Amino acid sequence: MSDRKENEVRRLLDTTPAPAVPAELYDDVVRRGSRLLRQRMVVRRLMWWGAVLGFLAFMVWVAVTDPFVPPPSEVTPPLQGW
Amino acid sequence: MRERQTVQLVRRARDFESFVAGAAGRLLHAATLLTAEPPDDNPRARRLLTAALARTYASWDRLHGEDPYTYARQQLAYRFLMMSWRLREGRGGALGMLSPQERLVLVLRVHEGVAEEQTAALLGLPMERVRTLCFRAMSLVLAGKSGALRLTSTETVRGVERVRP
Repeated sequence: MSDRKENEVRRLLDTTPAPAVPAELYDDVVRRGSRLLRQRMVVRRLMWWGAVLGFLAFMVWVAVTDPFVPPPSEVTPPLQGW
Repeated sequence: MRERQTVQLVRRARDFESFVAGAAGRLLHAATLLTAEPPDDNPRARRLLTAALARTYASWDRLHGEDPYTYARQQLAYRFLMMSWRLREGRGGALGMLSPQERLVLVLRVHEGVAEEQTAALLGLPMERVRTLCFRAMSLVLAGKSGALRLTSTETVRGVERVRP
């Protein structure tokens, strides 16, 4: 029942006149597609630069402030043998 | 090295051009059914198709064996979903009496022959819902075509839809 219906609708859709493909379609598509590619490349490049700059800033900060050196001990070891 | 790159670019352009030559007609037909526009005046469908194909062009190297036609059709469906939020009203066409969602399901299932499961996955709907939508859409199309019901406005169609089981 459903299959017959489906075939009927398919036939109906196939008999609707197919629209003509506009001549400028291909050029428009390539123009927009290239723009998308360029945008993606710019975004990727910006992300790389951000990562590199972040890394450099981190290294400079480490060199200047020495944040990973343990602070000097505040506990004196017990005095023995005198 | 540079020469090989150029050769690759030329081949890529040729592959894409032959893909568009083969697929554009069928996809434009589907898009025009989706937007419910008359075949000779279908600016929305053309815009939809241009955007979907541009996306396919940009992703051409990353398809990794996926069928470009499937990819382009998927893009078309996504874009139609986004745009149908704003443009609810059809402008005639063979499926003008259906809602955008009904049109999308009908075109994917019947015109494009996409399996129920894939359609459901593509639209993020349960399979039951896809089946119901498709059945309702087919009933409405056949009822409208037979001339037994003269459907003119969306309101009338909605009325009929509620009566149908």
